Amino acid sequence: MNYGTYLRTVSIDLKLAHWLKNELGSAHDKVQVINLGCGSDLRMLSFLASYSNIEWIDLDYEEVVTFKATILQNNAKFRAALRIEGKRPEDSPSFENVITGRYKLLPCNIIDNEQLTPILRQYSNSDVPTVILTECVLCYLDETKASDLITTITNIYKDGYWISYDPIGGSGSNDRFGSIMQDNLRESRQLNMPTLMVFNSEDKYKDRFPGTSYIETMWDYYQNQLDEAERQRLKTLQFLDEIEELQVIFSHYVICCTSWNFKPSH
Amino acid sequence: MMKLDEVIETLRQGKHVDEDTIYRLCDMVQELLMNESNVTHVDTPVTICGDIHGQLHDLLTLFEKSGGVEKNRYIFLGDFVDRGFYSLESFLLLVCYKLRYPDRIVLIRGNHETRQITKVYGFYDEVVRKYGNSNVWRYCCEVFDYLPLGAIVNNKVFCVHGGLSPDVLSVNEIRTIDRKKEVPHEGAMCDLLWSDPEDVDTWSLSPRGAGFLFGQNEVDKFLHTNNVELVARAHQLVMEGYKEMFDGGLVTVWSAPNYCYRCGNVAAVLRIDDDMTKDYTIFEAVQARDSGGNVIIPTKKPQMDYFL
Repeated sequence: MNYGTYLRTVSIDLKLAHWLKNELGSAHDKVQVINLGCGSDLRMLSFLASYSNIEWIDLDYEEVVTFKATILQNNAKFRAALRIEGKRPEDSPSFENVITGRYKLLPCNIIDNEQLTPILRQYSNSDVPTVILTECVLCYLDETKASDLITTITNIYKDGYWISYDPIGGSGSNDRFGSIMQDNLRESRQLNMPTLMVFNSEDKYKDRFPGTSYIETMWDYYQNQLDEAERQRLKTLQFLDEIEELQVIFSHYVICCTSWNFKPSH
Repeated sequence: MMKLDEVIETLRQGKHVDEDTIYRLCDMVQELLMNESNVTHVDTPVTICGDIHGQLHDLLTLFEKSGGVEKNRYIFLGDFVDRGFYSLESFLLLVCYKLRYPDRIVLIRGNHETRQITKVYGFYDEVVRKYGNSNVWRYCCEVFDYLPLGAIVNNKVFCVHGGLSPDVLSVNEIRTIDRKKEVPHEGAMCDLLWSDPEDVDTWSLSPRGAGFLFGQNEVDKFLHTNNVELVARAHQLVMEGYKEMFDGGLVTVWSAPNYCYRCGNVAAVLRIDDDMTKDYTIFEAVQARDSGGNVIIPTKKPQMDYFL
């Protein structure tokens, strides 16, 4: 089951890297990446190191950001990688944000527009090409909150690319994966996924976004985007005893990439 | 002497059975299995059941929906353990039924009935969690080594867990295998437990990394050579519970509903009557409950997790 985590991580990394390399006019163009609901994700480290032209903004709830900021501020390696300067951890037991030249980690309830828009206006530039990441974020939001978020963001940034990863409930007549997932998560973790069965197919999920979208399931990604050598390498890392269950599960996770108002490539 | 019916009742409730009792059960069933040939003959009417995978409550439903072992004959096509939370109880219940009704139940070895696979896919961890040591797992693995590799119903339906092997042209060739060992990584014994039917022209590599893919040609040849009508096998999740292929020459039977507590599939068993007619019974998952009647929450276990 490590395959699922691997596919999720790698697919988002590669979609982002691919866009940064190929879709931008020039490698020197300035780009900003905004990770909505970033959690404890450290994806910014490798991207900030590999691409000198990007700035990265991580947003999440206050308690998540405090937890993450405190770890980043307290660790010498993170401080060096993110060029964190200023007072040392001895001075403060916890930190409420990280603000450096190219990296911002800020507390923000992303579904509260009163918080979100001012923060984005202050820390990002609406004329700069912008990548939005939502990794298992939209699935937890109410339908109107999610659609408001999409509208807000696509209105702020002129040129944008949105990479979103989520589970989908499934739309086949005998497909009960989604409803069972909702029940299981509700019972075991008190988690709700209000739109799992609303945007239950690839098409329905993709059509939430304005612009040009490309969506594929993790099963398709596993079949089509990984080369044979990589699939063989994975097999040496984790022995797979069966394929059918894998197919059922991976068919219920998608990665969706949407670009809007995009400048023609050079 | 232990009272078998009491152990059966304890197991049906998912309650703890002590180590000594399990040792004796395993020892006794080994004696029985030792005398079975690699391919056991079974008479109709019989109910053929696919993978169980430790879903004890669904196994109880299976018996309930198909008439029960008190009055009916059963063949289980293997994969009793791993994945579900009640591998031990599921397997021991089948063992007890076999001891209690020796001529009513045939247990065939699946690819999960091995030391290597059970260490990865849950049975080993379940035993250590429940007993604090692995003794009971070892006793069960000893039993696995004695399970037959196939069965044949009225000389007309060949039953096996996975499928065919390029090293096995006739059923008689299976009888010459020395089966009392851990399942090898290749060869006839491995293939019978690991292979899958697929739309292929000839023997092909299996994506599972063990066994082969085989197509209609291989099945037709096997049916003709052995003068049988049907290959009944399990091994692959089928959302509808069963799937017939190759003009009815092969059927996959899957008996673990809502597999891994999250796949949403239904399950099936196949009854073969005296006139060789086939009759499928479909059944759905029941909510798993512990001995206190509390609902068991599947996603507490890491292997049941979602990628969120």
